[in-house]
Amino acid sequence: MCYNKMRCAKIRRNLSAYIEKELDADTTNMVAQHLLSCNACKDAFNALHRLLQELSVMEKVKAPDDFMDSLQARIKKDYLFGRLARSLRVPSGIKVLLQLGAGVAMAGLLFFIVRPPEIKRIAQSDPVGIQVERESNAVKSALPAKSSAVDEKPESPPLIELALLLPGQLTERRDVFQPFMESEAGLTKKDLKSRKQKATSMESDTPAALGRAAALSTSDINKIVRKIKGRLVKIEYNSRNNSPKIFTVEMPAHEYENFLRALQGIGKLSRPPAFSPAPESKLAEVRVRVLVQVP
Amino acid sequence: MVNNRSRRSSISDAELIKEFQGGAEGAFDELVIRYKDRIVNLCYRLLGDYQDACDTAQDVFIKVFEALIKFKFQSSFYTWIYRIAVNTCLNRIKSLEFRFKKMIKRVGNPEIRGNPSLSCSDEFLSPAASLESKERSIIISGAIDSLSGLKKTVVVLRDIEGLAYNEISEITGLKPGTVKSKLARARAGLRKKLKNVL
Repeated sequence: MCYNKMRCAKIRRNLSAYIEKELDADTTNMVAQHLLSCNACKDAFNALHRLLQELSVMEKVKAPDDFMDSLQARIKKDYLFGRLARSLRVPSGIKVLLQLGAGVAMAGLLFFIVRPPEIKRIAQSDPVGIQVERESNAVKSALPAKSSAVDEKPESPPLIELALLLPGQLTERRDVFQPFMESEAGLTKKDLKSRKQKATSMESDTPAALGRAAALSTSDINKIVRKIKGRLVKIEYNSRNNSPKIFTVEMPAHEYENFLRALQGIGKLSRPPAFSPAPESKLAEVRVRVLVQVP
Repeated sequence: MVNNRSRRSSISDAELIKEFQGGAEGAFDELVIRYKDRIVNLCYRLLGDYQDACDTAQDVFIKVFEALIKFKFQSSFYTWIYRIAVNTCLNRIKSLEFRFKKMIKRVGNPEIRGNPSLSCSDEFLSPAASLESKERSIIISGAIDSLSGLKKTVVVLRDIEGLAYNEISEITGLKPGTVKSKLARARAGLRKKLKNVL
């Protein structure tokens, strides 16, 4: 019986290496001496020895008879395409480029699908389109007449942009002291919410249009267009009060001056036209942005 | 065809691999014939289920078929295919499907709870084995199966397959010292579990 439990634990840790004859001479001697005197450790040693014998003679399973056939069938079925791809042997440089291209295309597609609502809204609204169109037309107008004559495509009429300032009545005005006074007066949540919505919608308009543009109606525009024998191409309304915000008119080039005069009869043209239509052009396209002047 | 087969059965693994890399797919068949039993046995010992072992062994040979064209002879084919087999089995053990299947087996057979390998299909074992040794073998298999992945791997590779420490180290990617310590702990665990059998 061995009473030195720490020594026994150390011996048992070394039993595996002792059986494998991997211990140095001193430790091997120490283990051998201990096994002679400690029955518990000797039992453990014998059990380990029997375990290793059992493991070494364990039955070996064999592959089933149809292993080879089913493996060949799987290889033919699953890896026909893989072998075909291998046989193409795409160079690694091109492979990297293809992977990069596929990654970029995937990222673009994902961005298009899950783009933020803010970007979607901007993309759907016309002002950007107007701006792009304006830039493209500015480029077109900057081209010399010779190059435009060479161009085979039918030439679109030059686009002229104007801003019409109407003498407006500012029905609501933001006062820096107003919120404070209102809060002091104990406004309900609903009132505050409606005030906030109004303020937001006002801020979302163009800076000049702080008031409500109600002085110009669609019928006024139609009248002017009929007068100059033109055509109303497009009209956009202010979402807040349904008054015309931007309208585009196509007209005979020689009626351009009359159109300006008709507009000046309604309001002030804050942005004088940068150029008149060229004498040889038969049509002119004018885009007018309607703004309400702050009193 | 028959001559080719008999010629291949006498040449080394490395020469077969070179033939395969040169376009002779028949060389791969010879490698499969040489290693299929060993790989199925290894997978069976690691997974504890014969059908799973056969499926996984097929996966191993498919991986070998795919990668053999790039084999660079930096290690022996023997250790290379064993490494693939061990990794495939360890991944299989980790897979949810395998765990679920094992759990279903245990729930379906409450008497084998705690001794999972009793569910192994043992009809493929040698018919010459006696009933007693068969039972003993099943109990030992169950004890091995209850070990954790790497401990089970080192016990199977060292004590059942009889590989050297450096080969086990190469196959598992562990340092030789770690292999030895894991083996000692695994053996001690097995000895405790099989106290009544040994």
